Amino acid sequence: MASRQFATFEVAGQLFGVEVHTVQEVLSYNEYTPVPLAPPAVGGLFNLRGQVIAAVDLRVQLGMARKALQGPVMNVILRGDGEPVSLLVDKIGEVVDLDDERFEPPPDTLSGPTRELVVGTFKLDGRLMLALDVNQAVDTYRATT
Amino acid sequence: MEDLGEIVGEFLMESHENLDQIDRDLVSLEQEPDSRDLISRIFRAIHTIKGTSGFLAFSRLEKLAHAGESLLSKLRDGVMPVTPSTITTLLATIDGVRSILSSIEETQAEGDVDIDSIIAQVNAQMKAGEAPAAEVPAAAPAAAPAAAPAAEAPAAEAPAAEAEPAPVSVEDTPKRPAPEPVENQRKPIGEILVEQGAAQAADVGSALAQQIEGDERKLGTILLDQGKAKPAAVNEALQAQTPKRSIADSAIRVDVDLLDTLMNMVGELVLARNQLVRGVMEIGDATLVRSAQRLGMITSELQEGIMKTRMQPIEHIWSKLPRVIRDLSNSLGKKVELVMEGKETELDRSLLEAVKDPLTHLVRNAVDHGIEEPERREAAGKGPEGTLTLRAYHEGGHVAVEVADDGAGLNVERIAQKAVENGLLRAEQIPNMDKRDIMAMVFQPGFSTAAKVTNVSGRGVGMDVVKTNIENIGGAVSVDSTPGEGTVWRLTIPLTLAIIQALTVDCGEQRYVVPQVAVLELVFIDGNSTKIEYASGAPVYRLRGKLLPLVRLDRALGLEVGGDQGVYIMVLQADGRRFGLVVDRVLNTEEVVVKALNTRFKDIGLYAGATILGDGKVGLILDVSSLARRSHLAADADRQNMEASARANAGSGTGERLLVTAVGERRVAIPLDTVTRLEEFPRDRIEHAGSREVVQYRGQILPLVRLSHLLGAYGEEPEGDTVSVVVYSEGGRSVALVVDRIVDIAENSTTARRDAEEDGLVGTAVIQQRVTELLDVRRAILAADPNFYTDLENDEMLVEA
Repeated sequence: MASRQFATFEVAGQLFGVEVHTVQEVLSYNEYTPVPLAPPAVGGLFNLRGQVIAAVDLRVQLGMARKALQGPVMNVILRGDGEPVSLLVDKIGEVVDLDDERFEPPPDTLSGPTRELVVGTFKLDGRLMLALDVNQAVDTYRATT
Repeated sequence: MEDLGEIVGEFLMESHENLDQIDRDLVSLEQEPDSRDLISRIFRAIHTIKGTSGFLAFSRLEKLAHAGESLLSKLRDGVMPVTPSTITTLLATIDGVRSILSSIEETQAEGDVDIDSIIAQVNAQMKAGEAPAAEVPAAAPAAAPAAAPAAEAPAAEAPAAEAEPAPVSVEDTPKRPAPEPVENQRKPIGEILVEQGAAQAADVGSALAQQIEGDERKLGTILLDQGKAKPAAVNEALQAQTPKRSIADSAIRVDVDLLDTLMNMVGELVLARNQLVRGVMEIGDATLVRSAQRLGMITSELQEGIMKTRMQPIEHIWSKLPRVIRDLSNSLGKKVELVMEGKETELDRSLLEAVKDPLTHLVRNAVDHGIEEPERREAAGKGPEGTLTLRAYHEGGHVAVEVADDGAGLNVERIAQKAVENGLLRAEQIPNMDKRDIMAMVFQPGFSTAAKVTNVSGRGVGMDVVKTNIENIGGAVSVDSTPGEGTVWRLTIPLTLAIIQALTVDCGEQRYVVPQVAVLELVFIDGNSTKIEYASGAPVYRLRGKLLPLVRLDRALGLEVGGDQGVYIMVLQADGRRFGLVVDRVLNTEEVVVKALNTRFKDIGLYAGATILGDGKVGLILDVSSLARRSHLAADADRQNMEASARANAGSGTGERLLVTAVGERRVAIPLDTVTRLEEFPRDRIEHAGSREVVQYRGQILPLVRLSHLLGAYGEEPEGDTVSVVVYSEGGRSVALVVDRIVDIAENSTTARRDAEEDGLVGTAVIQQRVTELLDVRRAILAADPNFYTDLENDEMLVEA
């Protein structure tokens, strides 16, 4: 039985997951440099061991209002395409091993921006995890209308 | 096999270096055909290549090198004179060797480079050369007199060497600090001077005699004081005297990647140091402060040292140019003398690489178009031989490289006329334009005033590439020219890319970084003795009586706009324009390491990069020239660029060309064919006719339609005193589409295209990795002018009828 490992995290109470191999590291950081005139989904820039990383606010990407970045915020740093990019999330979950048979395409009732970011649904014990399309999730120029 | 590969690799690297040297030497040999040193050096170099290729079993290479060597040996032995045609043959041989080497590099085999014809050429040359034997004796006596005094000199110097130690051993206090050890390989300075013809043997002899009698001065000094030799000659002799360390002793080859890694690590160290120093200052412990200062100094020195390892003299890229000029001027029947000044000026190697092609292009252009044919030069009262001067020097943290010719100069009227023809300028603009601004039009894409297209230049590609390449590395290009006297092309290049001097400033709650090169001065505005004034809404400051246009950083960044008191004006210079940037506070100057900014922020255009500040936070580095442009300071130039690139792009490529604009947060593309002009109108020129907005434009009433309204794009109206419009004209009628901003010109080659669900659009496509909406132009035009097409169609019907 084929199974995949997912790193999970929560945004606004919903559990999301990305495949573990796309994740570079997870850390909490509390000072972000805003980038004026950047797309709204850009939360800011931060310094990761001398490297400048852009943080994408997943909340905004999901069509929700932006929350002020105050105090430490969790970052899921994705390897990205040559340059690492971070997703700002509310809470980090566990790393889970999931069989393919737990997978289902996104439900038809799911619509809006979330639908565009999600590739499928995994049925976990007691709750659902939405698997994110990593490229879509960090694309800050995606029309968020 | 692995080992052999390494040997071959080293052979290739070494040979390439040797060949470059040979090229240079051959060209100089042509200038001074009697130089035995040059012939021997060329001979040795080619001999080395021959030897090694024999050892590595590259037989064809060996054969070719051997042929070249034979010809050279005739020259060396004085059997044949050095003539331009022998030089040409030798250069051809070197080219042959070079192509075999590149073939080896690519395919590990010698390939099928045609060596036979070159060898035949060499042989023919040798046969021809032996015939006019009469020339040979003529060359021989020339060398003889030079040798004669040289032979005398050692005789004069010899007693000195022996005699000198004698008085020293007798007296306890030596007369001179230490007798210079006269080593075997070190020639006495007197001898060198006599050989160079810079001093008479008799004078040297008498100077030596003076030394023996107790004159404590050095020999060179005595000669200088007596006026028997020139200072420059003595200096040169002293340099010749220092024993030359062989390259193997004084230099090692270092992997460039390793240097890059070291460079990055030093960058990190600089950051860590800045953080530490700041922390230590807060604590205020005296011992710690001292240690931190010491660390600071060591870091700076280390940084400087590492930077130096990456520095190379500009000679590296100049060395290929004598050959380029020789070949080109020969083929054009021109005579060009090359003068190089400041070839020891050093630049970071990555920058050198980037400068190489633009520089070669400028040099070719100068030979092709700058310097005239000998007849024309003589007719103009100049010498038949033109002079091309390459000049490099340091100038305030930058390196300036100039390519100057003494040719006919640029024809400003022609350039202006051409610019009008190409639609880059309007005829009425010309009289008010600065001569240099008109000349700068040659950097526009597709611009060439050459009467005929040659295979060298004149196709109008190139100058814009020169400009782009130099601007990509943070440099600038300019041109100045005097009719009849020549043209100077000037490249200004930053010393290094990685670390810049910068000012940190506060704006709102954030800290920004401004490269110091752009900063001319700082002014504090207290609101009383110094204050910001407004000229019809546009902020200005009286700087020593002249009005300086101001840009508020907070406004430019779309932040909350602050007050006019207690702020600073940074007087900045960019793109040849001067303006003041209003910031809340100027903190300090710092060396910052430039980090590339994530590609997703390239579109914003206001940031040149990012850096880590002393407190560990990320700071954005402002792009001063785009700040100037964004603030409509350079609006004209910008629009011209856009139009020019539109023109240059048209006709090539297969996809449909699109003008990409920004409307609110959306990107809207307009087919370029339907765009007549791009204009910018002051907001206050917009008038109302009925429910429509119009402007007066070229004697017409031009209806406007705001794409943001048409497409229902929400978002605020952009700030600014002008609006960007796209003008569409057909059959004498025009309409203008108002957009927030012109973004770019792009080719629509993608297949990711969807039909529109929205009114006013024909679809959406992915252009430059961004979803872009394609405008339904007909619909937009009708929104501006419902009668636009009706009249046209009526006209057509009339024609048909």
